[in-house]
Amino acid sequence: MMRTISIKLLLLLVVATLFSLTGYAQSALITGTVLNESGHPLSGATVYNKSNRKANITTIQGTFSMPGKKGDLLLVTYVGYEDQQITFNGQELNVSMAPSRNSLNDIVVIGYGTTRKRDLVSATDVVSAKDAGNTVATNPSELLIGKAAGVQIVQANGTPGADAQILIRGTGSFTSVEPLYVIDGIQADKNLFNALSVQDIENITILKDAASTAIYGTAAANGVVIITTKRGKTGPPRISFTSQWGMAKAWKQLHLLNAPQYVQLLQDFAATSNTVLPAKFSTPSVLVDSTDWQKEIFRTAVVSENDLNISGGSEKVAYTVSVGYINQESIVQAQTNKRLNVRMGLDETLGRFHFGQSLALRNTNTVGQLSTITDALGYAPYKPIYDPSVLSGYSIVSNVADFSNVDNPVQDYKIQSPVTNEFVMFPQVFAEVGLINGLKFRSQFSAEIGQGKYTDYQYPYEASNYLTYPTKAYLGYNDYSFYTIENYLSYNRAFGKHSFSATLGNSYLSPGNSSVLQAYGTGIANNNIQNISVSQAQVVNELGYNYDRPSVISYYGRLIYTYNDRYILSFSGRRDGSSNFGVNDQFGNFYGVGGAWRFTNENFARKIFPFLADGKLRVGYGTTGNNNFPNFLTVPLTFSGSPSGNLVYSLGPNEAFIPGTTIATVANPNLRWEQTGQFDAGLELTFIKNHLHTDIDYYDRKSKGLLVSIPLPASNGADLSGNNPTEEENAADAENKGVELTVSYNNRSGKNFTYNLSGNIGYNKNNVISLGSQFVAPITAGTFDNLSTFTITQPGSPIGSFYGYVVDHVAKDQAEIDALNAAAVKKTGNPSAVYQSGLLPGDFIFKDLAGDGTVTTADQKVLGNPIPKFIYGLNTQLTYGNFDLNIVLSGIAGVTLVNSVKFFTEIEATGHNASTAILDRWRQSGDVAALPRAGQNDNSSGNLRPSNWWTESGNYMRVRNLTIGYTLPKQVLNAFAGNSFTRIRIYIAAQNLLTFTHYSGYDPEVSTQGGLNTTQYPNYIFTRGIDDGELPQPRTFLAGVQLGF
Amino acid sequence: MQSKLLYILPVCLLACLGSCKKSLLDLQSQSAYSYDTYFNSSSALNQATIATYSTLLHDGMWSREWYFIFDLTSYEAKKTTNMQGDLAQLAVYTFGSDETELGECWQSLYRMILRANVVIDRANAWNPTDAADQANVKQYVAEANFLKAYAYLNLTFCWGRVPLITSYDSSLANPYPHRAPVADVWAFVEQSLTAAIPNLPVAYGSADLGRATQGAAIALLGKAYLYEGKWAQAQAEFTLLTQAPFSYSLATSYADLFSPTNQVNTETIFQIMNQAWTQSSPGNEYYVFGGQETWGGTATQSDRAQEYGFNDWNNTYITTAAVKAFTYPSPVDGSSYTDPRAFYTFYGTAASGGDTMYCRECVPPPDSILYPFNTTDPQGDYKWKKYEYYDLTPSYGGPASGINGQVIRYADVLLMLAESYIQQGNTGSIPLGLINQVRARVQAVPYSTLGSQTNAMTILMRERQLELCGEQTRYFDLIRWGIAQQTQNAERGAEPGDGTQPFQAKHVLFPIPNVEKNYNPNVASDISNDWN
Repeated sequence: MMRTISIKLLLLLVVATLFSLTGYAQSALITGTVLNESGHPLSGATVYNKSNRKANITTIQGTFSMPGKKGDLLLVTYVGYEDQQITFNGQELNVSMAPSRNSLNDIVVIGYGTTRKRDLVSATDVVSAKDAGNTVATNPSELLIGKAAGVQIVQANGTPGADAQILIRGTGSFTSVEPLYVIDGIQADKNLFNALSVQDIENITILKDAASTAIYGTAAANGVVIITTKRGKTGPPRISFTSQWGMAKAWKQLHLLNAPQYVQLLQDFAATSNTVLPAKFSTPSVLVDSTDWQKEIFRTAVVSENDLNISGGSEKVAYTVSVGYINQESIVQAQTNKRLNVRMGLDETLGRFHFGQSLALRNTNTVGQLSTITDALGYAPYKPIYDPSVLSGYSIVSNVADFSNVDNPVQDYKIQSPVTNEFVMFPQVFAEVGLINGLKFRSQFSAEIGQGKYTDYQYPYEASNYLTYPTKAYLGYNDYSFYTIENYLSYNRAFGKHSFSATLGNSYLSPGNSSVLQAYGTGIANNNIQNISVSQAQVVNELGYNYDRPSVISYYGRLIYTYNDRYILSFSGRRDGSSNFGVNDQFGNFYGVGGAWRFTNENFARKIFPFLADGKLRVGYGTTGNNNFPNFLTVPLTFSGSPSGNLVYSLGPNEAFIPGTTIATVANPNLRWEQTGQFDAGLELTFIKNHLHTDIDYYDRKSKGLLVSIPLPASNGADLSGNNPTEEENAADAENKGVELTVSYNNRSGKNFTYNLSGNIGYNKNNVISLGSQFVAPITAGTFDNLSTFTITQPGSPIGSFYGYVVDHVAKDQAEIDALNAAAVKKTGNPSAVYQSGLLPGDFIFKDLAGDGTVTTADQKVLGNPIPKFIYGLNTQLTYGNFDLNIVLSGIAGVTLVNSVKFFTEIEATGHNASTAILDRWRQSGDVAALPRAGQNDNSSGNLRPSNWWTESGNYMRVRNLTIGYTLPKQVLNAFAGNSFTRIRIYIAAQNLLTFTHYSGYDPEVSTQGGLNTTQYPNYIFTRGIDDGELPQPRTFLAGVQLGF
Repeated sequence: MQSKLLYILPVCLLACLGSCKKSLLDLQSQSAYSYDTYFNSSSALNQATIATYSTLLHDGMWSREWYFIFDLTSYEAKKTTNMQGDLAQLAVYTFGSDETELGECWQSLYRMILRANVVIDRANAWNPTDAADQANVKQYVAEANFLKAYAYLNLTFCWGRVPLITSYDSSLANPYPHRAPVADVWAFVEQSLTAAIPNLPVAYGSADLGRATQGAAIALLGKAYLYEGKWAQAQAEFTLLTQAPFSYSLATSYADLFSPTNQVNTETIFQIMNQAWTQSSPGNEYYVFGGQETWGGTATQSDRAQEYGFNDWNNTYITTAAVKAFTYPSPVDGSSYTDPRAFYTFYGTAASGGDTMYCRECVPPPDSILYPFNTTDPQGDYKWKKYEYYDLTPSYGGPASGINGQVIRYADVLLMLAESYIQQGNTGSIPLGLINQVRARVQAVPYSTLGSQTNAMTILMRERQLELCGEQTRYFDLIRWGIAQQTQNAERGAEPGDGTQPFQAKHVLFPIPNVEKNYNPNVASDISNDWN
């Protein structure tokens, strides 16, 4: 069926092209050229004849031609420029445009169209790459850090090329927090967004409220991020080249015990465990520090980036080609990440037709194994790196000989060398035709095609505790692809004081296809050839083939009506059908309504607020949905293991593997859309002379029927080993309420000094309203180191709140415990009552919050949550003469983290090294200590139960970016290089220069357990804010040069 | 004309998608079959049956946790310092409803029940005309009934009143079942086994070794009767196994039952099939940690040797209480007698009767290595030998054991048969002969008489303790004999490094695990004292 659609599309393009060659003649013509401040032609400027209400767009040469007569009043507008009014005097016109000092006339990209910023009815942020200090960002999402109120960028971790999650206005779903990404007007995804080179981005628009996002219906519940890339501009070829080099390093190290302190710790541990240390601990060799393991894995990483862009164009064709190459080492051994981005764009104007094609490619190559930080924290300090008697040559420890089984941190990254290569391709084409009287039709097509290759070679080795591993060579491939087709009509027309803008269209998102196959080989004779081709036995360990995503069919429309430049009304609606829902609920309807009042255009308001240049009040409400979960949850399917074939039992004298097939899921045929209703009210004020601009918004976002994976009782049995059965239900309701404020001020002082200051802050309150009427237990998640769940999601508290006990202090001696127990007996009236079961001197005493005399599960409470209450950013841009300075500060406040690394640094439940904090542990009766004794069961019934001992404030403020640049003056440039350069700018920059925080771990910028999880159910929802020793964000110093030819 | 066309084309394009919406949204999975249509062949139904067997190796079951749960809770094994976390709670009897391993055991037994119900549900939905297919269906349903009975027997024994889900439809219809009376569950066990027995073969062809046989179902039914105190019925079932068509006999070598050579054995009635893992095996060595059927690849080995092995993870000791039991008054003259089975059960000192050497057949062959008994170990340094293979290699390097797990073996049946006689007051030559038959195999001196019923029970209890030490039967025996509390508290009280008496009256049943009660309101409201 889709093939026919593609063919129809092609037909249209061919036919439309033919028609464009003709066109119709005009009797009287106004012609002219529009030029920018430096006299270059401006293409794409709108020339509007107020007298006959005709409009035209300038060509690549900046020329226009339209019907009209002498005396007609023309309005010329262009993004980023002041409007120009000019009267046609019968001569060919030369219009010079001046750059805008306020952004109200900026054209803002909204869903399926654009609008002037002044006409917006919704909460929208536009971040232009230039303002964001794009020169040093290596990842597109970095451009947004600290830039938009209420928008948090959570970087997965400090691994080169790591992903980031954009969170808009809190967490409003239990299955996905992913906003919708739209690149150049076409729906895309986070993968493509991250695949873009920062240098190719013109600006990013964030649609936050539902009045504007409703047109994207199903996909928009978490907001919309619209990316506009740079396109070719007319003129001779312009070449720009940027090269930057720098060094990155962890900004903090932890203080670990030295060998004598470590041995003392183990001795304490053995004593508590009623055992004796192995023989070697009576020799002096263990008291000598041999290796600083943090030093062995952390390093100063080299980063470099080179970008080249060539663009230009003629009257009918404009082009842009850019190539970027980033080479980034990880700040721990031993990974290197190389990313090559290529982007090509073409624009053709042919009469009333406009065609565009672009192709973005990215190739990512990651080589090397990342060190495990917790191994470096825990490995015995008396051990050398090497030990020739061990297979592979690296030292190991064992419970039998060393009372510890931590793996050698150097061995970790030396014994294997994984290589991942990922290639993604993103073609986009569109055709636009101006029909008549402001009516345009656009048809666009995009596809995403990705593939990956994975190889790894593992040397044979013996790990700690004498575990032996064979030589293994891996080889794996995966690929995926899908496409999107959209068609829409848009209509823009003004009648006197009335102006209309309407859009009507449909789209189809193909489910695409994805596949994966990975195998490993064993029986490799020696290390001379290090790949699977010489292995004697092979096993397929990953295997999959299915649709890549749900298929979605949508119909949508929008009408924006403006009266007298004062009253703006916007209506939008969308109907979406999606393949992942049950047949009965396949379609969902969404709508948005928004209104704005530019009250400063009223006479009375001008009198009351003479200091205002512009003032606008906005109110909007809309509904959006979420279908971001897999296909086929509505039908019962067979299960043969994952990958298929792993479900086996052995039969026969040689225990041959016999395959099995059964069912392992509970299908829910009644799954429906998640629905989010959002109310937004905003006030935008521009003060006179346009120096000061403020924008304040209030929102209330209620999400209903959120899909929840409800745990069913274990007795149901439809699950996998070690799991509980679950069923997907539209059960929960949640709410995010908040206020956002943006203030910006820009001015010029004297001839040489310009400055631009802006700040933004967002306050958000997240709350779970209900988990549904069906029996739903609180959702618990976030286990680490085999301890119990740390987060709870229940009505009345934020999603994924930390939940547990409150520590009072470490029990000093038995007398103290006896007194507590006596009080417990008295209070409960039960003669055998104890205050806290299993409590021994040197244990944490937890608080009896319920006041019933004993510590029970009722003494737990919400200890905080990882969704920040406040997100803020401060931006400064100064230019003084040829110098420029860009400072970005960002921070979050009102956020709690769980520092699970403390399991290694401040607790001795198994044999491992720890941080110097553990010196303040309880050792003997009478000790008043901060930390419990060494040696305790590592389970959740004792000291290690979830408690506020693990939680810490995650507030931080970070000097994210500081760049100082110097642009060579023209005369120097000419003297130095003749006319070959149009621009030379040199700069130095620092990223994450300073961090203000009280957090005790490596870095307070914690994402979620396991860093970024790319599976279908991202753990940004239930296990966010648990620091499990991910790579910290590095501090990076850079120097670079930008050349323009 | 031209401009008209310009209008028409977009409208056509817009309208197009509307016309083909149905097919575009109607996707069929490309990676799994529909439950409703897949199981309509012998081969597919066999796969459903295999999937039911596979749960025997899931978390909480025989690839790992089963050993720990029942060896620790019967105090045949005790923890070393290496044992941490949840397992340590089992070892020191501080577990509660959040105990991971007990939860996993519950989950896996119910998973076995669901998968058995799937076999029966799909078999009922398929009406094969071919005679061979019809015979296959009968056998698969019988196997499913056997496994269902196995699961419910363990569930009701360990937890008492448990949800009784009898069919696939009922689990769909009611996700929140109530607890059923214990008698109902036992009745269901009997009924399932009675239904299974006639349709199970006495023996399979070699390729199907490991499936439930008629003998296995009869033994399990006998066990159910014994556990219920239905002595005469138990006796009747067990007696069947001593006669034709069955040809069970005790293995000549006791050691062979717990070594890599135990794959095919006349003594085995039902066993867990474990394939040894090697470095070119398709599966993951560590699949036992939750990777069954997923990241663990195809693997069926046991990690017991690695977990218990003194030269490997070294997680448990055999308790000195268990060690001491092997030395008792000689049936001949009342002098101190050390049972020969001590040698096959643990490593220790010569005086204890345990083995003192290992690596007898190691490749390359060293001289046998002396077991390094640490006399200063405050816990006593006795370690497990049963199910270990240190005579073949000095250390394993990973969990790779291919030694099959003995679920029911003929010696167990003979002792249960003897017990069913004794419990009915018969202490004569028949039970005496059965006990001596088991002892004769290891050249233990025979009893000449069993004496009074009490005395006979004492002898039988010791015989079961020694013969089946470390085979996860003692927990069941102590509980059903009603002596778990007194025995364990006495043993722990005297044990070096222990000295506690943790066994309380409530411990005769396991606590209803959180994996059920947190998500099932009907069970949650039916639990007393946060336990059972």
